[in-house]
Amino acid sequence: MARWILRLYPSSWRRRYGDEMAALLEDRPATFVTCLDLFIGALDARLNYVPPERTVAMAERLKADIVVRFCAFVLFGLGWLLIARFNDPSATFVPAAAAHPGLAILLDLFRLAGILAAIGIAVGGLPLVALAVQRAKRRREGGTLRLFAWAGGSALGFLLATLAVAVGHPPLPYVLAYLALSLILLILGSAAVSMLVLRADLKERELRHAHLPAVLVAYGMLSSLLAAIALGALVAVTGPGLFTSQDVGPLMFSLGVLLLGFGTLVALLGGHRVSLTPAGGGPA
Amino acid sequence: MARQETGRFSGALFLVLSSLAGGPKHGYAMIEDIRAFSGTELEPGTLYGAIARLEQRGLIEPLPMEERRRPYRITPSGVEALRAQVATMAQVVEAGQGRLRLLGGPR
Repeated sequence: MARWILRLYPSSWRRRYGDEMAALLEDRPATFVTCLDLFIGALDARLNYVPPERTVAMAERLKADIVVRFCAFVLFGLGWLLIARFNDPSATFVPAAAAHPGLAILLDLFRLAGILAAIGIAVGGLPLVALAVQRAKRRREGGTLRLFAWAGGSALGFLLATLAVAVGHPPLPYVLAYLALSLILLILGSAAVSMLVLRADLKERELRHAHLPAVLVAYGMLSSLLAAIALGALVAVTGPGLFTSQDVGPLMFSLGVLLLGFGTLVALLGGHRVSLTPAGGGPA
Repeated sequence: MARQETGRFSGALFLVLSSLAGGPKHGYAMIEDIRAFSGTELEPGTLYGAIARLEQRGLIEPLPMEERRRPYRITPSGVEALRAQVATMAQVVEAGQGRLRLLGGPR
């Protein structure tokens, strides 16, 4: 009777535990309570059991989605930085904004939506990085810890270089060197963070915690992109002179919108993939 | 563990982890060990439901089969989870004892 009830378990469960369970049933006599317990166990396995290979595949897929979205945000961030100082110099922007208040509103909206997306990245990503580093430390995985050191070193280098440029007024060659250094550090840091997440032993349920912040990131990016496009259009219609008077020229603005658009598109497609994944996650 | 699991397996997860904290065991040895230290008779369906959950969470891991029996051992994450659960239970025991003392009578 007990062996017959074993057939009620899902086939994936029986492949994994069937033999050992059958051996256990041979070791001890099956009572009515045993049969009832097996019956409830079979029902539970039908409802909750997720084969390990499916869990691992899902976790790998979620990790890849998170990395794609992070890289998309880096591209978006570059575009955002190019446009964010569109009000410089203020001597020309303020009068234009006074005549057309939409300019200031759209610029503020563009900045705010970008900051919201950055907050989403921090809320969704930092706990995962912290978890990955914590586990790597416990297991003494030197490679993963070195990746974290690269990421942290790149962020620190970027911060120090930015402070040096912001405090002083360096000549153009230094500014260009700063931009080149920033780009290198950005690429190094992003690659290190991406590899860190991909190599980390993160469980599916932990990765799913990043889903809600990811929605904030994607829609923050989309709002920021739309605000930038509207800002560009309003400038073109009401005061095209701003494109020549501001530090952010038409080429820089267009490049910024291009990066914003590409980053947002990738983030939205990544988000769409995740929303289609089944909300299984096993019995946890 | 207790916060995440409230079904019929919550006690079984704790018992299996506690048993494996004493060393790797296969299913039958776990049932015997759990009976010895807690007086609880785990049935095979409940035992393997708990094993599947613990394995899925990375709290225990399987070892190579020995004939038709597969031993399991607790992982470092499992030790952490068990430690947290024991600490929570110790708090509950302390609170319960304190309240019983307030009621008076034999302990």
